[in-house]
Order: sequence, then structure tokens, then C-alpha cells
Amino acid sequence: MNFTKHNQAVLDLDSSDPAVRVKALRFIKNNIIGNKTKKDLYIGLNVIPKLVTFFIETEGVDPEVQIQAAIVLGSFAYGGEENVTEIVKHEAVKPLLECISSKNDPRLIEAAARALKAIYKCPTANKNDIFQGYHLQDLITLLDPDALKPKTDREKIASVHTAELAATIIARCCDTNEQQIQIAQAGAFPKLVNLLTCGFSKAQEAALDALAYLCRENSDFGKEIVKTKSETNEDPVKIMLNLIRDKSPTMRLISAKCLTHLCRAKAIDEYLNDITLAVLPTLVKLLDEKGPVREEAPHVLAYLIRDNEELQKAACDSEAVSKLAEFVTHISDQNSSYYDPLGDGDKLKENALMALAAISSLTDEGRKLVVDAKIIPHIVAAMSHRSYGVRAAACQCTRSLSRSVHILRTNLVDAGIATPLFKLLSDESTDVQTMACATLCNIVLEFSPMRKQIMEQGGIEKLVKLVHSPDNTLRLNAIWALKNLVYHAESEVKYRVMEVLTYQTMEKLIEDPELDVQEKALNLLRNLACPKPEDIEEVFNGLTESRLMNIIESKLCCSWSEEIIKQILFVINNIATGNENHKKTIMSRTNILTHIKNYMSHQNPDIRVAAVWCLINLTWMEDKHSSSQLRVRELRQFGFEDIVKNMANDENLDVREKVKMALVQFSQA
Amino acid sequence: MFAANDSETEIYYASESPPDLDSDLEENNAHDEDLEAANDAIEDLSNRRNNNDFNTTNMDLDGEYTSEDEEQRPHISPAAGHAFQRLIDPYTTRHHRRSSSQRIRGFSPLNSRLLRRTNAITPSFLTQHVKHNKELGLESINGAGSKELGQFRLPESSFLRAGMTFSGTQNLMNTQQPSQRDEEWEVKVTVHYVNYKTGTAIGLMEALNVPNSSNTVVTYWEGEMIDFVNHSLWTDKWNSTPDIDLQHWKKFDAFRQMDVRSIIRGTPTKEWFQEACQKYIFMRWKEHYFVNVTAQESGLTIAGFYYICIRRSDGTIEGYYFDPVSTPYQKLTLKPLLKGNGVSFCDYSFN
Repeated sequence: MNFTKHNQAVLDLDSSDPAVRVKALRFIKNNIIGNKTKKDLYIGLNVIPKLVTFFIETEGVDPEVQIQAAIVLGSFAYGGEENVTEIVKHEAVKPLLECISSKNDPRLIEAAARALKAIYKCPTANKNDIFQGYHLQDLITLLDPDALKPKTDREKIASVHTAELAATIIARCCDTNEQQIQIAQAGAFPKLVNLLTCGFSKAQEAALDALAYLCRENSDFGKEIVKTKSETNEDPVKIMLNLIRDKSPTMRLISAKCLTHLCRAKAIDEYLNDITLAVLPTLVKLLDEKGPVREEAPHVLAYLIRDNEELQKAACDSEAVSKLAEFVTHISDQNSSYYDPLGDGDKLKENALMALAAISSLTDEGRKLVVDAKIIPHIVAAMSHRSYGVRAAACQCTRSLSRSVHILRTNLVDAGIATPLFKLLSDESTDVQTMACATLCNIVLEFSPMRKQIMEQGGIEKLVKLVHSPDNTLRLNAIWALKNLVYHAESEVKYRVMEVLTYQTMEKLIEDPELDVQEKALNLLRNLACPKPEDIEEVFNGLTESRLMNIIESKLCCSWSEEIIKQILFVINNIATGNENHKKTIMSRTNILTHIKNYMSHQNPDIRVAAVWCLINLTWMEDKHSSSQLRVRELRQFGFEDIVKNMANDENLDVREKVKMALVQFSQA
Repeated sequence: MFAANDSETEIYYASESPPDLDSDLEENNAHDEDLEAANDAIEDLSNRRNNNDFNTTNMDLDGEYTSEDEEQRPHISPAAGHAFQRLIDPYTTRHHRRSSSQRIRGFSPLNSRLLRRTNAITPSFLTQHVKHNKELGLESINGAGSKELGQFRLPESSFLRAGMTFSGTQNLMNTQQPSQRDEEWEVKVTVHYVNYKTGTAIGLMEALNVPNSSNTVVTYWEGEMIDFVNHSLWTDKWNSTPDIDLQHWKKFDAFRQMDVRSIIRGTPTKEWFQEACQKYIFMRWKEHYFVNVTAQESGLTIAGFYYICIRRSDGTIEGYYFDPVSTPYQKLTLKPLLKGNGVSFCDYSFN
């Protein structure tokens, strides 16, 4: 009976003889490389804290021991999230960060950087440590392969490798705007741009990755990067447009990603042609690759074409939809051998669905392509996928398709999308709930055959529940859905909705901290207060006249939000189509009348039109009722007739037409 | 304002009222617009080798008359030297109302007669220009834009907006058999989607108290706006032809007051178009399927489509149904359905 070799090796780490320690470390390293079981074994033997001590008590620790210990730690870190958690738990990060200081042995720097790269790949690792002390500066220094003064060829290659590692760490620690700023201020841009020209593809890829994350959603940085020339006086964008034709698919992908981020950051507007002719087709062709490249390409593609109709049309002209559809048709096979065993099949499905959602988001052309690819049944199936990312992406895809009245009424109904979608409102993931709710906004419209089904399944109750959510987007989508639900709805439906929602809640939403929510709540009020006087009366009863008028008066003062002004003017307009009492209520509030008067000269024609409509309805002649005549005279005295007379030459045709209508009504009293 | 106009001759005069044919000064009454248009025609002719839309060889009409005009036409003997003089003007029926003094004096000078003939609108003439107009339209869509049109987006109207409901009737106007009882049913239309950028609209149409049917019949329709960017006057589908298009557009009062010649012969000019679009929105509405009953149950057909004119000032809609196998010119008359004392607006938006 004796200690196992492994136990022995761990014990040897305590030896005072550095040679013994080094031998033990080498032994451990050789055992754990690529071997998860052995990694777990050694972790079980509590080897990690021992390794960490070599960095903390640096006095009398042989540099070779430190180097080997760093290599071993790195190897553990490459073994997955659990291992990284262990490493982080034992506070290995800070000591490792100390190792990358340029005063250290380059081999130690390289080994420590490699370990850190693996650690930061894990999303749960805390990234704040880098931004303390000199660590960030050390990293930036390493971006220059010459900084460590390599002499031999071997040393030169090692320093390029270190530069690559440093760039990757930067790429992974660049999530927030503050982090972007700090890294940029430390002087990352010129060094990264230089790295683009070093000729070593892995380093170039790492530099591209870092630049991509530094300019993500950051217009200033995007523009700055574009202006930063390399030491050889080359233009970074031109370099990237070159690298996008590289023979390596990974290089092509990362170049495309970097250019995409620059494009989205509005930093390369003058290169639009290149984006359409080089970046987009490259991404589409990358869909033919295997593994991680194929997985990430749809994600980048989706990001590139988001909100951009032109690019979406270009994507429609390419083979993108048919290729992406292929990925989705295998969606029900949870463990299909179709998918790369080393790849992430779930991620591929999710990204493919998101890309399809993007292609069909703004144009009917895109939607038709996606529908014709016959994947709607697979989208429905994806709504019960094990991965929440896939479920959310399925909703996003449905949402894009549901923006077409035609598709809403035909393909989506036929596929039976209503029930699975409704179920997702109760999903465990808030992301999924939010996305499902966004889609339901379109599904509940009056001309959608699925509306009745949703209501019967308790849609109103569910939406009202979500309207109280602390999540801003979810709350917005819920009130949006309710507002759409009462668009052109029968009085019974309106009554039912308000019975569940209550006017009190609606009032609260009208004062919501989010302006978007306020606007949708006002739109709901507008839809409730029409088309019949009975509907208006309901609103008066529900809110009470004084509260209703107070809401109106206070919102009319929100002159900074045109959307809110528009909605509130239409609330007034609709009330003004009611009975005598309703009209009188508006007439009696001079504040309101004054605001209407002022808004008639607003620079937004939609607002001017809405204001004139208010006037038209207040001067509406019902069978020459004497009270109508009285109102007309009152409004004339208030100055309205003169104002509209002066609007006869308004630049907007609709305004001019309504002004004519108003003048005719004035002429009748 | 929306009386159907069966008098064909009026369309060829650009002015408000038809020329007074019994006037002694008939030849001098050739209206300014006629002459202007005629002058353009002369210019076109001199350029005709370069200008493909004025193909004079096709203007030789032998036997090609429009179906409406059954009156005898006098033949005009050709003068030497110009191909177009061999033309027979199918629309010379207006001359038959000449006063005796005019008949004695003879027709108007050869000059103006020739001018009028060159402005004759013939079927082949139409086809040439429709093609040309379509190309111009496509240019606009693709961004090149003709000089006259530019990039144009139809101004919006409050009445053509999602949520608007209209009600009225559809009449079967059977002019050929006046003895047949007029059929009429009530119609309600709700517009549910309007996109001024793509010039499209979508809605539902409901026919109530349809004879021989107990249900109301609801159909789904999609509409195109005539904005000369996305859609032109020429349908080019649904069994229609430029001839048929013209016949139907002519039925609208709006067209009677316009220089139709210039529409057909060349580009719809900015002036004409702006004038038309100040007052009206023209559309075509095509029903695509039945919503609440089957086609058979309804006893109705939706094979045809409507030519639509929406008046901006009050939202009144006039429409004519065209279907090659149905009685022509069934008229649709609608106005905004107001359930309150005024016009209210509800609204939705896609998320």
C-alpha cells in the first residue's frame, strides 16, 4: 500500500527542493492536459490552493516553479466553468495578474496570460481586478510583441503569442461602456491596430476581436479606431477589408464581426458598399462552415442587418434564408448527429432563428422568404425547446412575421401559434416572457383570428398581471398588447379589459417613470374613448370627470414628448365626439383650449392635424343644435377661427384640408 | 359630383366644359390646351425617330375603333407627305353636331383637324405609353426617378388610416338593360393597415343584406395607391387592360377635369398629378378571400377588383367594380361611418 502517483505528486509540491517541485508540477501537467477526469481528481486532492501559494509567497520561490505552476493552473482553467469557479474561489486571479508585469520572465508572463485568458472566458468570472493597479497597463504593454525585447526566433514567437493572449483578455473584459473607456484610455487602439499587421493570424484575430468589442455600440470609439493608422501607415478598415478575404474562416468571421460592429456604431458610413458587397456575403458563405464559425456567423449577421432595411433586402437576395432554414429544420432533434458534437447545437439554432427574425423584421419580402422556407412549424416546436435562448429566438421570429397582416391571418393561424406563444408568457425566463409579450401585441389585434383564442385562455388577466412587472420592457410590452387589444374593439371587450385592469392602474401607468409606458397608456385611453358616446361615458365613469381632465391638462404640458402630445390630443379629440356633456367638459377648461390653440402651430404636422381635429369635433354641428352654435361662437371668441384662417397655407396637405373643414363649420354659426 | 359620365367625347378636352360645337367660330374654339398638346405632338413627331413613345406607324387605324363609338366617321382624304394623315379619327363623332353654318363653311382648317387627329387616343397608342409609363414608374421606384416625378410620397389623409370605417352601398348600375331592377346591398369597409411609403392598404369589406344570402359576407382586401412610384394608373393584372383602366378612371369626376392626353402620351406631369392628388387619393382594391363564409355559400364572386377614388376633404369614397364576367360599372359609394358626433380615431402599432 502506498500513495498513488497523483497523491505523491501533490505531496511533492511541498518539497523544499525546487527540482522536486518542478518535476511534480510537470507530472501533474502531463496528466491533466486534455483529461477532465484527471483534472477533477487533482482538484479533489486540493492542488489548486497549493499552486496559488507559489504566487503569493514569492520569496524563495524558484521562477521555474512559478512558470510550471502557472501552466498547470492554465490547464485547469481550460477544463470548464466549474474549474474556473474553483480557481477563482481560491483567489488565483490577482496573483496571476501580478505575473503579467513586464519585469517578470517572459515565460511566466506567457503562462499567466494563458491562464487568465481561460479564466475570463467564463462569464461568471469577475473582471474588475484587471482595472486595478497597473494590470491594465501591463496588458496594454504586452500588446506590442517587441516590448519584451525578444531576441531569438523562439522568443519572438512567444511574444507574439503573449500579445495574442493580451488582446483576447482585453476582448473578454470589455463588456460595459466604462470598461471600454478605461481600456481605450490606457492606449489600446494604436497597439491593437499595429497587431493587425503583425502577420501572425492568431494574433491578428485576437486584435480584431478586441477592437470589435471596444467599438460595440460606441460611436466615438468606432470613429477613433477608424482614424488610427498602423505604424506602417495603413488604414485599419482597409486592413480589415483585406483580412475578410483570408483563407481562414475564423479570420473571415472575426473581420466581418469587427466591420459589423464598426458599421453598427455608425463609424464607417462611407463604406456602405463594402459592407453590402463584402461583409454580408462573407457572413452568408460562412454559414457553410462547421463548428463555432457556423454558430457565430448568424449572430453577427443578425446584428449587422438589424434596423437596416437596405441590408435586409440584400440578405434576402442572398442564400441566407435557405441556409439558415436548414439549421432550424433540425430543431426538434435534441441530440441530432447533424450537429457538430463539439459545437453547441442549441446556440446554432438560437442564432439561426435570430438571424431569420432579423431578415424578416422590416420588409414583406423578407417575411415571405421565411414563410416560404416552410419553417413555421419548426418555430412553433422551438417554443418548447429546452434552451431559453432558443425559445426567446422563436418568439422573436414569430414577432417579425406577425408584422404582416396577411401572414398574421393565414400562416400563423394555420400553424397554431397562439397557444404555445401564450404559454411562454409564464416562462421561467423573463427574456422569454418579454419576447412572447412583444409578439402577442400583434397577435391580439382585431383583425387577427387568434385574438379570441388568447382572450378565452385568460389573455387579458395575464397581460394585466405583467403590466405590474418591475421589468421596464416587459411592462411596456404588456401595456402595448392591451392598447392593441382595444383598438377598434367592441364595447364589451373594452369593458372587460378595464374591469380587469382597472382605471386606477391605467392612471398609474399614465404616470409611469418610463415615457414609453406613459404613451402606450394614453393610447389605451384614446382607444377606449371611441367611437360611441357610450364608450366615452364609460371612461368618464371609470376615471371621474375631474381626474380625466386633470390627466389631460397635465399631459398637455409635456411638450418635450411629441408622442405623448399626439396621444393626448387624440384623447381630447375622441371625447369631443361625444354627447353634449362630453363636449361641454372640454369647452369649460380654458387651459385645455389654450393648449390646443398653441399646438396648432407646432412644427410636427401630425400634432397640428390632431389639434385641428379637436376643433372640428368641438364645432361639429349636430342638426343645427343650438348648443353647437354656442360652442362655435365661444371658440371663435377664443380666437380659433382667426388661427385656422391663418393656417390655410400650411405646408401639409392634410392640415390644409382639415383647416378647410373647420372653416366651413365656423361659417355655419 | 360623382355622377357617372357616359359621354365619351368630353374626356378629350382638357378644359372645364366641352367646346361649343354649334358656335360659328368653331375652328377658333380649338382650346388652348388642345393646341398646346398638339404643339407637343408636333414636336414629338419631328423627334419621332428618337422618341419611342410616339410610334406613328401604329397609328394607322384601319378598322380599329373603340367599342363605344358606333357612329359613322367621315374619312378624311390624306394630304401628301405625312404618314399620320392617313389616320382615321374614330372620335370625329363630335363633328356630327355641327351647325349648318359650319357644315357649309366646312370643317376647321386642315391644320387643327390634323392636330386633333394626332391627339387621338387609340388602343395601340395606349399600350405604347403604358409601357413607357411603367418604365418611368420603375425608375422612380428604383430611385432614378423621372425628372417630372422625382421621389414622391403621397400626402397622407386622416380618412385613409387604420381604424377608419366606411359605410354605404354597392349598386348594380345596369345601363344596358334599364328595365332590370337595380340590385343594391349595404357595404361596410374597415381599413386596418395603411402604408404611404409602399402605397398599400389592407382592410375588410362586409356586404350586408346580400340578396339570396342570409349571412353578411366579409372579405379581405388589399389595396394599392396610385402614387406613380409604387403603382401607376395601369393595372396590368387581374384581367384588366389599359383601355379598361382608362374607361374606369374616366368615370371619376376627378379625371374629367384633367388633361388625360398628357397622362397617356407621356409622363404624368408633376402639375397634373399634384392637382389630382391635392383632392383625391386613387386606389385599386382587390378582395383576396372570403372571411366568414365560403365562396359558394356567399353566392358572390370576388374575381374582379375596384377602382377607387377617395375624396380628401370629407373621406367620401367612390368606386367601380371591374370583372370581365360581371356586369360592368357596379358602383360603390361609401362615406366615413361616424358613431359619435364627430370623427374619432383609434390606433394600434405593430411591436
